[in-house]
Amino acid sequence: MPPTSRPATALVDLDHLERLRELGDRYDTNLLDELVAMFLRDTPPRLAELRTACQLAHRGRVELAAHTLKSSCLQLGVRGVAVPAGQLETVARHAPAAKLRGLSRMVECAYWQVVEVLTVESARHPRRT
Amino acid sequence: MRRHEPAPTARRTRGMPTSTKTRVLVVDDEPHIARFVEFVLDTAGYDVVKTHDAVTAIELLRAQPFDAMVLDLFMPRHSGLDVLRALHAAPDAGPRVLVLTARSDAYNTELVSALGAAAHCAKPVAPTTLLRHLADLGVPPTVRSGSGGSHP
Repeated sequence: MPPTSRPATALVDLDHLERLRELGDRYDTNLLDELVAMFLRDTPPRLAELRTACQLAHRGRVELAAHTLKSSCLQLGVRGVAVPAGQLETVARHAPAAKLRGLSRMVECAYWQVVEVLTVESARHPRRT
Repeated sequence: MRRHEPAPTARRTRGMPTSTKTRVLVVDDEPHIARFVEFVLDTAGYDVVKTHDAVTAIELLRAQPFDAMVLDLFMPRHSGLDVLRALHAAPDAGPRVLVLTARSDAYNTELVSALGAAAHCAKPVAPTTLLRHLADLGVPPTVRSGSGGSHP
């Protein structure tokens, strides 16, 4: 199955996004788009840090980078990345280096699918005025 | 650390009772999470200052009074635990601390409690949950102050 055929709801909690949109609307603020823009701006460097840490098998760095990604994704409902990042955080201290690299690739793959979902969702529901 | 006194307010005045915004320091290395927390607290009526690193947080706490702090635990370089340790070592009363973390295992829960955190909650946090936690800690958005003049 090609990655992009995964249902959007498996990757992102769309109800959560809607609640964020409604919260912003209540105060006439484009909160959701602001948070998504920050997430898309800040996540690629986090992924790069995770990739480097896994390649070097610096386990403490892997654990922290994976935790940071998990935490960031959880708060935005991006479970498609939060789940593999959480797995990586859990095994960072003891798993073989090859497994760390594999999980890191899963996290990155999931992220790029999430980008697509977030972009589509932002375009589909412009802020009510 | 005296962290369990009732009716906190960072800016008390003498004379007639006035309504003062409760000051909250938000510390999270993830900008979109800090912004979310800031938005929720700001729209609820709190006076919010946010920072993305522990060192700046410690400097702010030394320089300014805060009634409460929403603190992330796991941050690069210096962690939320470092902030708690700095508060713990300070001679005067600090803010009520709500720890916000994506890893709330028993060890960390006990550790942050021992270091003076008043409460902790797990990410993702909903707006109502965040506000309820602060209310439970006795830090509503505004505080009537200045009526007794009991605080220097």
